Amino acid sequence: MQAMLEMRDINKSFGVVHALKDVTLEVREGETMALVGENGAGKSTLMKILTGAYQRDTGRILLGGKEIKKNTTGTAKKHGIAQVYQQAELVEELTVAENICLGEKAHAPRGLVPWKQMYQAADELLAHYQIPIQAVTPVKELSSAMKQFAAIAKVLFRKPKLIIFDEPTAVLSDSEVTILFRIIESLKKEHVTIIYISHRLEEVFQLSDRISVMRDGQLVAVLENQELKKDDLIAHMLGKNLGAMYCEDKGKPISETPVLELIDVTTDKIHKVSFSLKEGEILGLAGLVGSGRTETAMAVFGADRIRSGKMKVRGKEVKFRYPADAARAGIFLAPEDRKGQAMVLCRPIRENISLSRLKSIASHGICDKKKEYTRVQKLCEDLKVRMASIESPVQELSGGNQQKVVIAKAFTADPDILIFDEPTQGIDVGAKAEIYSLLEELRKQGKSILVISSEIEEIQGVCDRTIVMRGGTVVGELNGQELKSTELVLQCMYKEESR
Amino acid sequence: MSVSAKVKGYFKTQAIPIAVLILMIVIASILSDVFFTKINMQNLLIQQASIMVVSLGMFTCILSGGIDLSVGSNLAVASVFMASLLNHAGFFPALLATLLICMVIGTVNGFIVSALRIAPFIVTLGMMEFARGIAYWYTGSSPVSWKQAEDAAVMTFIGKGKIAGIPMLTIIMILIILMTMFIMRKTVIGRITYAIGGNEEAVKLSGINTLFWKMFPYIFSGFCCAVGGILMTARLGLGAPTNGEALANDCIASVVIGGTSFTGGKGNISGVIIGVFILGIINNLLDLLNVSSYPQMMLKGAIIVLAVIFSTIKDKNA
Repeated sequence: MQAMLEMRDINKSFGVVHALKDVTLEVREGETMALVGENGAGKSTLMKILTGAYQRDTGRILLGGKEIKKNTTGTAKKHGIAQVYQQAELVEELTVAENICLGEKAHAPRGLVPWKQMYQAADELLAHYQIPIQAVTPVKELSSAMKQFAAIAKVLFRKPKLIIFDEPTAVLSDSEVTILFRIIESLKKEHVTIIYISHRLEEVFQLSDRISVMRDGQLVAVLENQELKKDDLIAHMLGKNLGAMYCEDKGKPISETPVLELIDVTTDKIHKVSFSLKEGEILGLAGLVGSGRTETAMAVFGADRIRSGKMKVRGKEVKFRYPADAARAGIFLAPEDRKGQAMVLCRPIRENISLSRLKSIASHGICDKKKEYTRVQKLCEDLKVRMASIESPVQELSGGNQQKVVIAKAFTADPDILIFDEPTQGIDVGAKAEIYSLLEELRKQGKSILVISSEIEEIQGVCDRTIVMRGGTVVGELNGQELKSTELVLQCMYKEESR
Repeated sequence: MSVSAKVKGYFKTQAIPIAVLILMIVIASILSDVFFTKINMQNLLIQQASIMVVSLGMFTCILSGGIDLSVGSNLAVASVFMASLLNHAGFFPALLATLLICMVIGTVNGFIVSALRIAPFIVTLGMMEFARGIAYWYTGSSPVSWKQAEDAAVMTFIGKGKIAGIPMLTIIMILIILMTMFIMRKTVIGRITYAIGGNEEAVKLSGINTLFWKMFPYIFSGFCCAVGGILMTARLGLGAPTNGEALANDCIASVVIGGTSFTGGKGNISGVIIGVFILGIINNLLDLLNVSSYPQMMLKGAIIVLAVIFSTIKDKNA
């Protein structure tokens, strides 16, 4: 088979960081190539060079045997290269159809919009790929998962020859992943070439023909999918054999005393949520996207107003009007939207880490920079944050390292109760294992932890007990043996849908 | 980080403003042989005192992701109240009352922006009109002289006096600069102001009371307007309700030329200082060359837009 795309000896540096070293990637016509590797391995950088968002320092790009000299976002688009982005880039106020056709000149001859044809074309496209959204729905009314599908539809409308999927399943629940896979299967039948980036290895095995592995800015292996074992692939990604991803010597709750209790807590988004978190426990909060998990966290943290019900911290009833009240009571939240809510992207790593408790570096309101430097430097070394220096803005870090900065913030805040909302979303296996062991580390320090996750395996591996949510309320509690059965957890999460 | 790396990093971030400032100085000294005389240099410094002080307040507002359009009017309020109160009371009571009035105006701005979540542009636009009204109403629209006041000597000393050959206006300007630098660099307030400009939501979810801290820049801006107004009143010998008509424009221009991000979170005070002097030198030079004030306005307008274009291009390439 002929190579549809060849990227030869690509090099790219950002300042002192050599992000890509002589990377050569070949993708055959009509195949699905998975691209895997740890955070910061260079996957996103390589793809940005392909889509023209970044310019390569050296190297060549050949498309169908023809060299592309100067690759910009415009030329890449003209050559039929398209990317589905992690964060859907859509105009919220417009309908799905308007978004799909946005920027397509063919659909606005002489500058006028042919509304009827536009909706017809969008309907056809959505029906063809069995995407379960309506063309007339405004995008702002879609759930984040359905926005992702609208973004995919927008890409498909342009009939690209090569589609890059970068972590497309990050915001999707399991049933929605099925929809995505159906789309990808039909694209394969239409001989569209696909580059699929994901941290979820099951997906990679299921979808891809071949797998390219990147590590430290180099392409280290190209593997045929058939007969490849998961452990072998992980070994390639890390350059070593990975022990158990989850901690072997898992701790236990210190006592049965509840540190956090919710009794019939109701907000505008959740209804009568009750559960308790024991001292030194790692409690899971499972459920699909939109089941009320994040909303529960927001209510506990004082970001959403509680309408009725009670909340107790260490047996004492509390009422938080603002997140600042919750922080004072010893609660820390690592929000779901890492870039939008967890950090100040344009400020240095140092300032972000100190932000969760400025008192730790300041006396009488005046910052002690020396103390701060040593503190933050040590914390970053302990957590193995990969960075140029603690003065780099956090926006320069990869997802996994950003999450480590958030965990460093948690260490700084030194709270009793920690809430982690999707702590490993969009993070590779290596960093995941590190984050899991950090959670255990926090438990050893006597902290109680609430982990929100839509990955069942993660809940099973990390938590002592889990609460399952659905439709804005608690529908079940699983502990010990029950938790080990994936089927049971799934049943609990989906009951309503499967009825 | 080593000192040399710090210096290098600084020049990298401030490259364009510094280059423009040097270019302005070179052009000025070529076009006018009066430019580099001691008298002109001193004039230049004295003239910038008010704008500099008020620009520092504007800087904190823009840095936090907001803006304060009411600075000119607030300065006029300071100017007329200082002059008139001086005629009825001593220097210090007048000073304290003026600071208080201006900071109350700033607090009202800050409260509406923060607690009621109204866009800073709208809030301060309204306050611009309102405060100007106060200044005119209070004075009956005529300037107030303070020359006959009991403590007129203190005011004269601020306006015309010197210590070790350095004008008092310049000394006060430098003191306010140092104070602002201290607040923004060394204190928790500064840290939070930068962070709020970068991502308010993240600051809130870090357990910081953003409702309270978001008010700070506007209160500080009020303080700066009071000081700037007093300096201007001291220099001119009277308090006029017309003072500071186009001041907001000049301050915004200085801050932006100095490389502060208009979306907040990024910028530093040395940039503001450079920005103020770039604009100051342009005004000064055109005055020396007897160019009328209208082309001056056109040139200033062009420079503001150019500065933003350059800084945007720089951000994109970074």
